[in-house]
Amino acid sequence: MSDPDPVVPDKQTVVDTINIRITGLPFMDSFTSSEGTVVGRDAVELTTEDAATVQAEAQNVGVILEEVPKE
Amino acid sequence: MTIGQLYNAANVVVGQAAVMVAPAFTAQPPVANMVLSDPFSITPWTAATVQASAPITAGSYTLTYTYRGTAYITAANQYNDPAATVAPRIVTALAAFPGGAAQASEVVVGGGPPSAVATPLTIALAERLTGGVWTLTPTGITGGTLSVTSPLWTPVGATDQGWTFASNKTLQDVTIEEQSTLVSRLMTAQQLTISGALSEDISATLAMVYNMTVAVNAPTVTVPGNEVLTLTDSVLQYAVSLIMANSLGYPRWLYIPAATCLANVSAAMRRAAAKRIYAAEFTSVCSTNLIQITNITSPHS
Repeated sequence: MSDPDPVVPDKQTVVDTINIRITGLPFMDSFTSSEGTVVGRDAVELTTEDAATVQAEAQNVGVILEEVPKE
Repeated sequence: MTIGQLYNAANVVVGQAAVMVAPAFTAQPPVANMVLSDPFSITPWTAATVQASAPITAGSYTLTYTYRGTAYITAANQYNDPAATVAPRIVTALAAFPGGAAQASEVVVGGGPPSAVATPLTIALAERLTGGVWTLTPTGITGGTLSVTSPLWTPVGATDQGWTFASNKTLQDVTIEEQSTLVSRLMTAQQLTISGALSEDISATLAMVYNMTVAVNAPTVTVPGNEVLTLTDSVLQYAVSLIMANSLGYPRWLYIPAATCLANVSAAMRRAAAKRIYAAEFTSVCSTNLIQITNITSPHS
């Protein structure tokens, strides 16, 4: 009798995320994307793909978002 | 020259001083970056930086400058292209810029090549071209990564009658009965202020003088792009610098790392009798020894 099949762990999807926040002059408080994602002066974690979309929209209206290194 | 254009084609301010602001405690640009031939140059303040994380050995990149929803994209730059090669590509990319094509004198590219970590490329634009956001798209960059950092300093803009740099002191006189003259004078308080009447009716002006925060909303299919300014009790703080020229014609920079902008504002909305002006007064709220004036006394050795 052969050994049972080794247990195969469930596949896990690793999603790359980055932290981004709004930067620039102190009054620049928040940016809301067309999808409703809100980025403020405190860093928010978004998937790399979402972050790219949000950054592109922010760029269109002159808002600068910066990537914050993860701790 | 249009209203609010503080700087002429050669990036020289038309006036005696200009004010730059940034988030509180943003460092002043290094003295080494001062442009001695033009004390009012905003190049050291508004330059974007293309920086390598490690030595780059191959590849190319394009630079995109997005201004009011329009992207201006350069032709491909090789990883080791010098500043003199990159500059004309940026000028070409900005050919359709609103208000007229960018001139070579309005695009100042320095440093580089960005392939080395120690020699970042700096890109400064004339005031009429500022307000956009830089991004970088790499192609086949190897050895490290290239990134572009937008500047933190922003010109406050045009004023009605220039800027006033003031020091207000509260003194305590010390006297004794036996002497008619003062024995000593003590300073109980002092404030440094930079004040002026802003004459650009833009949201940045409103946010600054009324101490309001700005929430920016991207356009959707149903709602146009908009921004909402909200009055706040939280006092916003700025790093402020007053750019001047000294008697030798060299730059002189006053730097206040933390200041508030809380003057009483009363803007008259007149049909034709007067333009709208907004009083701005930056008052220092930092340690006295952090407020400095950097004055160039002689050119490089």
